[in-house]
Amino acid sequence: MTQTTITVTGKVTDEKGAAVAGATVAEKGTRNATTTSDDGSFTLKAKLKGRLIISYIGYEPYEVDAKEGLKIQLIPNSQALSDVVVTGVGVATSKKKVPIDVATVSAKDFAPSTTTNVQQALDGQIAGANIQQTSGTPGASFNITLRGINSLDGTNPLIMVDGVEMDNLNNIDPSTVDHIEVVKGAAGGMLYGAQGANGVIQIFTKKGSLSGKFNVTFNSKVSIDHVLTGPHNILSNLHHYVTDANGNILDGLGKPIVMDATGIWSDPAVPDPTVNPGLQNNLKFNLPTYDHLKQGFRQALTFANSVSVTGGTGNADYAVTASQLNQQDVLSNQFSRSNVSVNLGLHPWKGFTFRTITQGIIGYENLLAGNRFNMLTAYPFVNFNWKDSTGHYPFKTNISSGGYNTLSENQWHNVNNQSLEIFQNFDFNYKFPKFVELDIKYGLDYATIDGNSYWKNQSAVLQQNVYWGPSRNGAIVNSFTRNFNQNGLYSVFVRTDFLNDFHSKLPIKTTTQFAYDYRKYDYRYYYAEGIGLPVYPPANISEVPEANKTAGDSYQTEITFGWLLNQSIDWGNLVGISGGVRSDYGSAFGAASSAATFPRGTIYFRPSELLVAEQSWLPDWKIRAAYGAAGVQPHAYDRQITLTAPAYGSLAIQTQSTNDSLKLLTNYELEVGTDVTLAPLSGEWLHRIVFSGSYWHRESKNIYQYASVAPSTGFATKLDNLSTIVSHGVDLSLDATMYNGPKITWDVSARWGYYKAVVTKIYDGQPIVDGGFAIQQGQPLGLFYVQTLLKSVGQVGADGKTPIISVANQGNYSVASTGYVVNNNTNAAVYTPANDLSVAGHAYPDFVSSLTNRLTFFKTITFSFQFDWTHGNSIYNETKQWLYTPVGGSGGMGANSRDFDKPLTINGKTGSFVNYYQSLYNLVLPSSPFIENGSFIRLKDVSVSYDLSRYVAGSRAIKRLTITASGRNLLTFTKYDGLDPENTGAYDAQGNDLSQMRVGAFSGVDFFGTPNLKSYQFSLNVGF
Amino acid sequence: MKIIKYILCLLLAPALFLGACKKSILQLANPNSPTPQGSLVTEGGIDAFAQGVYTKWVAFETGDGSIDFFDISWLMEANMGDEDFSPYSNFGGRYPMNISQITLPAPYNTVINNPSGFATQLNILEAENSRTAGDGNSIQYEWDVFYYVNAQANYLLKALSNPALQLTGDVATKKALLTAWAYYWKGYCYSKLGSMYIAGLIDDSPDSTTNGETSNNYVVHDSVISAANRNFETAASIFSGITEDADYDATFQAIIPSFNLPGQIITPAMWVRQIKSFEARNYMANHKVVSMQPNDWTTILDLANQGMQQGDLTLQWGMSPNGIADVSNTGGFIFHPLERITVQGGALTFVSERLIQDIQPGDNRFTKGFQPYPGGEIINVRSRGIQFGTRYGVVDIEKGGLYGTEDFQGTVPIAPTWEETALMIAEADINLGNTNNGLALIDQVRASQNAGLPLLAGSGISQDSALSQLHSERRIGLYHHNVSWYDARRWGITAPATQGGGRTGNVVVPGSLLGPAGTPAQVLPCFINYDFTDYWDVPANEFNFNPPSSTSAPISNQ
Repeated sequence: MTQTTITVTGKVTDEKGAAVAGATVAEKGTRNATTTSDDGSFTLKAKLKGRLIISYIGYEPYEVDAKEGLKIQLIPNSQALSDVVVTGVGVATSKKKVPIDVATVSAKDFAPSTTTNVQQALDGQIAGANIQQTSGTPGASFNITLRGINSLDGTNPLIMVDGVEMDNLNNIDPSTVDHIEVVKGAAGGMLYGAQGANGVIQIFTKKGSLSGKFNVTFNSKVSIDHVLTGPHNILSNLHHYVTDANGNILDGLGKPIVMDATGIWSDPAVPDPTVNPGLQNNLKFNLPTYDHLKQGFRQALTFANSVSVTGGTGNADYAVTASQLNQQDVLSNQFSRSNVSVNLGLHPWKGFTFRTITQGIIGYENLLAGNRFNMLTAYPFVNFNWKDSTGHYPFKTNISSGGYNTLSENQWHNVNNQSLEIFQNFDFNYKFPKFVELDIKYGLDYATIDGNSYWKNQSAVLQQNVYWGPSRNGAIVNSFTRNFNQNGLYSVFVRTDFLNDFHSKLPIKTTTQFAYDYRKYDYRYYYAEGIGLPVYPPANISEVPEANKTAGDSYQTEITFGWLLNQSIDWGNLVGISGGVRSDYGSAFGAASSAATFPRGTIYFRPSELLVAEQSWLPDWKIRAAYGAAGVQPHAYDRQITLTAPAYGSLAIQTQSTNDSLKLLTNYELEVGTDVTLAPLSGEWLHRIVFSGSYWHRESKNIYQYASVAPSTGFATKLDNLSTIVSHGVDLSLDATMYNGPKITWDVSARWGYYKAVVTKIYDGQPIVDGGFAIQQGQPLGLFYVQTLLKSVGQVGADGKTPIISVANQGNYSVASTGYVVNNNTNAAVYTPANDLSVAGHAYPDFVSSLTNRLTFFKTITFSFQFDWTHGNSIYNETKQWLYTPVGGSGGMGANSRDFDKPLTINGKTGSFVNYYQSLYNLVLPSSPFIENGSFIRLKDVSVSYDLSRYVAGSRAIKRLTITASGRNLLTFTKYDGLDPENTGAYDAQGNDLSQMRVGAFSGVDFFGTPNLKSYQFSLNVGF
Repeated sequence: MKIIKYILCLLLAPALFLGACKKSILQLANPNSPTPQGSLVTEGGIDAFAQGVYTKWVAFETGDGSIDFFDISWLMEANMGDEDFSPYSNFGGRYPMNISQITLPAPYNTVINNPSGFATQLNILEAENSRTAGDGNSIQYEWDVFYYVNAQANYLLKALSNPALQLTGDVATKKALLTAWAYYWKGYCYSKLGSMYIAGLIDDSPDSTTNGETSNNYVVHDSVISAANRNFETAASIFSGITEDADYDATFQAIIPSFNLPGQIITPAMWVRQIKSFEARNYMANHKVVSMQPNDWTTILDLANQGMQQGDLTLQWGMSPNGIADVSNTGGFIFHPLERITVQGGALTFVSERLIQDIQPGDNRFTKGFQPYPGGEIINVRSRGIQFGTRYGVVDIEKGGLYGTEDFQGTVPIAPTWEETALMIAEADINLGNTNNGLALIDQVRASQNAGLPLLAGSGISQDSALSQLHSERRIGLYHHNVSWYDARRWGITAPATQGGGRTGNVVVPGSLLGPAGTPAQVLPCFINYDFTDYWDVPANEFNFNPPSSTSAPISNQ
């Protein structure tokens, strides 16, 4: 008989020749396998002429003929980082075995036009995540909703950097990032307990490698930014003011309007359209007009430079990145940020690693708010660039308006906000020779903002009655904010491998994780204000009379601590289960003495393990399910009953009542999904497809809510755990190598996510109403609940039978060409009454998606583009409603929406009837004509890179050279009639921010914001 | 060995954290705000809490944060009384001034309907009476603020009964003053609520505020006024038993805001007289003159005769001189009560043409207090109705004027004054046929305000002329005394024209209503049909959460 099996021995090393312990050595097409021991050696019985596959996390699989004395050096996998994840699983786990949905974004996958922050890099990369840049203002925060909405006061995920919590994602420069992991919901967030319910974004900073090469990369970018203004002017070109025979616009006294020496225009007289229903907006201006968006917004330049050094010695690794961002604002002034990041790892002896990661961030900004309202509402004949005899822009440009010339603020108001953030992370890690690993992390996040706002003394200004700031005599406000957050994490891992440790034949591996987690958040704020400055320098608060000085302070401390026990058991690579529990105590919930406890269980199963080589078109297939719970913390002192104590020394009951026994908001989430890698064709086409899909279902309980209560109780609201939200959704992602030829490669990535959240319980069943938003029991979140225009003359009211227009009067009404009922005599449209509201849209989209294509030609030219598609949401165009404001008499600004130029037909008469449009204004009450389709497709990124490395191949200094040209937000396809469909927030009619008001609204209202930017960028990347 | 040392360190380090796992470290008290347990058992705390009835003027409004509800409701009453006007929609400010129609005189004879599209004030107020209207619901502010103040007073009474409360010195007097103060403010709140809303709730239980409870038994407005007078009588009987001493003065100074007549003391006797004046006002404000009988006037006379005397002090509202830290400046938008009417900068309110028209020729208060509006007349602001127009503005106090300020000067009375009491007696006297007595009182009031008008007493003018003088004097003599709305209602001016309401009033009429383009605006004596509802509906933010019981009085006008 021929010997059919042989005993194979060998040794596995890494790219530097160091032994690799724990690598899997398997006989191809069978379930016969072993793992390497600590010195990298292995022994396996295999068939003669069989093939062995050696695999290890982070390295390319290595295939070799089975024979004796193998020496195998593994090659690092270029995509290694995306193959191992930590977030949501606690220990570094091969993505093949991860039982939850974890998205990974590597720095090389960042859109090339990513410039200022990490959120830009994540936009469009995470299936189901809605990352909305709501404003073009530098430093403006993003709305991040990773997986639907499960609280009424925010969706912000937990931000972690290298294992410990960090406060502010805005401050991290994309150049310091190596990769990012995102866990979307409670199933993975359970590991983070009371903080984890909104999901987790974990940043991993760049790291060197042991004995790594000394590597320097320099990157420089310039971006030319313009504000997005939509496809057409949103303001009218014509007018309906009173004019004389020559077309001169007249004021209320019958004289042509003029501007005085201080820059103030007399107000035009407006015929009262309610008395003159035939009045049309059809007159041409006979004096010059100006585009105030162009005058108010400018072209801005952004410069971003970074240099990175990485490398390592025999027992240390290092990475140092320094970056600088200088970003001009399209409205005024600038924002700058300098980051230094040092990641240093020491490996003094076997098994022990000490790592210190330091980030220092220095920021500066002198941004001004300006007066964007006035940019859209000022008379078109006002020239914002006009200056008076003293060289100053006028404050006010007409008598009746309270709006100021936005350009004027820069001449009188200086802001100087300097921030410093130190983020330090120490990590001690010791791996015992067997079984046990200890890990201790301590992170501190120390962030300060030193703020100064200085309004110059304006007493010599020509316009005497108006001024910027609190006083015409100038003012100074100095403020200091300090956040000091600490996070300690102590973990013990116990691992067993039945094959190696117990000489069992069972391919079982177990991991037990015990962790103790302590977090302390500390906040301090002080300010001092002096009003009325001397007319001579220096301008400081000391020079202000005592009576005009005020000061204030506020402090906040929050602590949570808890422990985690998580056990996982894997059977080879085939199946694995885990289960765990975490228990947290916190100062802000459970009366500071009872714990919130979160369970978790996961399972995965990989059918691909059961397949044989013939089924190589399916290299990897995993089915997974996870259940977990996690919490959302209330604000620090939400549960405490206190009295109001204003500065003048009295005490009163708070109007918003609190509740000492506030419980932690907790999400219970089930997630089921699959991850599939397909290799459908072996040729150049469709080489590889990776598909990942998850369905999730969640119940959010004990949601914090400031429920409105009857004022006769003495309170306006009551805070308690009052609502429940049930939500579900689907997240899909697809990455495919469409074509992989010698000259051309083509990769496609698609992301798609959908969710729906329904409020199943409200404390008293009464709708929560604010601005245009309503939360109704049994209804989805984010409803626009408004008065609607009548569409038929006989339309009945809320009772379902009484006509809104009485039968006797119906003869006076008809349906106009716009489809709405209009009074034939006044031309005014008719709304349903205030007690007859309807849902006219919803703020949240049906789905968000993105599509990225990347084509590489001749390995040197890369062309890529990314489209984002948000569909099915509505926008409440409150800006437009304000532009419908009725005008007239001696207060004339408003009624200047582009719509006023459009003719309509009412009962046979055609014209651009002013009273029709003004009747839609409806006292700025939430109204249906201003609820618009907010869907859009946006070319988020388009770029071309040219790798010039071969031209510098002979150079000793330069190793790599790439130039890139890219554009951001260059094209938008939308039916939305405002400036920018992404530039929305949660506002009421007066522009008050509702996002913290616990109405579950975080976006969807367009209210005079600064739109996003359209940018053209050029960058240079050099490797030394 | 070295390795073991390091490992030991590793194992010991967690002890630092584990030490932090004691639950006691979680007991973090809010360091920014006092607590009821900590502060209301001390004398300083209870005094500050008594002063807190003013703090409750500023309250939380969803979307806006903290705003001054008292100021907003004050402004609306001045609007409806047509002494000032505010054409702006902020906080629903202009809706209560939704005049129904204005008829231009001959030769125009045109009827101008309200451009809001709402035929009557009640229509627009009811359209806005929903929580969707947010801060645009005009009628919520007055309701809310006085229930909040009432809750504070209830809570104060509860805190005063706490045996742990430590007071020093003349404890009985101090406690009596604080108790009477609480009952006085409850009377104040019910007076305002019962004079404004068609129905109200009576909540006199100290525990209900602690427990966040209320009643769902709405009672008619007259019953709310009865509750006001009942609480006033309780306060008056306590005040009657107090003798003013140094401890009384010290406590009084501690509970009254600094802008209120600094250094002056409202004595127990003054309190009792003021309460009688308030009861007289409550009676008068809620009775229509057209249906009043001699016994009604006698009732007023009886109360007012026990009421305030010349020189009696009353509660004031103003602002500390730096204008920074006090009740009227919280919220950013609302100003000193006399600041929003200054002609300097962005005026929020304006003087009504109809007020100016009601001032007697030659009155020093006109020449000193008013001026032509700088920059020209105000006309039909934002096309919101031609009632929103005027030729006049105030002169600021710091510039020698009387009724406006740009520098936090001056105050307004928030409770009855001697002038109001005297004019109540005068009105009763004239209506009861004692015309000359009434005229003498008008003369006294005018003299006290340096009006410089000829004496009426002994002039022998008719009863009608005397009433006309009385009306005129109440308009200007009690300008910014928060009674103009009550007067407009009880005199029948705001009733629908079909029921005899309305008045002839000067209106700045835009030229576009009078002739072709270029026609200048004119001031014309138009007929104004106000058609205001007498009593407002209960606001939706109350009845949505507190539906009326089956035995409740109607809570709306329909």
